[in-house]
Amino acid sequence: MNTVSLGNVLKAALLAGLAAALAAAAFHSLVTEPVIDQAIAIEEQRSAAGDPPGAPVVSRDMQRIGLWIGFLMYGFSWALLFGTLYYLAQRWLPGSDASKQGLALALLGYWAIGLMPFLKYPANPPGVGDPVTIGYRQTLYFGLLAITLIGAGLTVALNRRFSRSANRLRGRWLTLVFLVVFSAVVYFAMPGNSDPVQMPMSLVTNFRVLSLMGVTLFWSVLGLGFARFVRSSTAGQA
Amino acid sequence: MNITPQPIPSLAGTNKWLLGAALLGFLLLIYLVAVDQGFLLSLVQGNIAFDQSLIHELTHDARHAAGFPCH
Repeated sequence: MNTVSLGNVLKAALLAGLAAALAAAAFHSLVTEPVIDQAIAIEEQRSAAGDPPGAPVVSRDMQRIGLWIGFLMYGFSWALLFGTLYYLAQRWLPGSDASKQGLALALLGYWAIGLMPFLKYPANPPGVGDPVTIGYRQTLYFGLLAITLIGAGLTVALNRRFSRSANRLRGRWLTLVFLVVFSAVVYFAMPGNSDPVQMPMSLVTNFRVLSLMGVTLFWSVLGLGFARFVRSSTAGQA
Repeated sequence: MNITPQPIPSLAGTNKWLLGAALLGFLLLIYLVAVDQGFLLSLVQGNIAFDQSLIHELTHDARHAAGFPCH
């Protein structure tokens, strides 16, 4: 079984992360920024009645550029984790070549890092979260992330174990059943987000749909991009 | 059942510095984009960094859109 060197894996992952970050940032700056503006307008209206807001530290125009900076960090960050895990686990990942194994890991990453946190703690526009509970909400969010990452590791291990048994197809099904049961247990066992949503629900729903689309776009481009780049880096080795 | 023992993959031949640097880079970047509320800059700015939370405000829109918890 061929193994791709760490340098080549990271190169492919970072290139794919860059592409995924640019795609997600472009998507959000086009369609999500107007929704964020609406939410901020409501937030400011609300606080205008109470204490006067201080001058913003970072202007809205700068925050629109910050969206791109933030997504570049987001893209490189997940790309580095993706590349490291791919390198360490590549011989256990399902798939007949490096590209297909990359797609399998991206699918698992989408489940663990994109989908599960979104389902349990859906994204909110500005003006929803209570600043006082930010520490608690961050603990829950990253706690869930740690659990789903462990779940992803178990899924790879189980799939590997089952695929060596006589009935391969049954093994795949058992792995899928494990993933579904694991998701359900984690979903119902973790405490929910306690903050009340004091925004028009239509705006919040709108924002959440766009956020999920962005996450889906990000992991699609990351997976497909990695599959493409890792293939060209292994072509030279063969 | 016939299970051939699989060799445990060894990290011999792996550039462990590169591996460590990649993991460290992941942690630092995800901290900056998703978690920081002024701590990092407080190392140079002092306490005012917690009020300004410059990094949080800069990456604010990405933090919301990506679904991370925010104020």
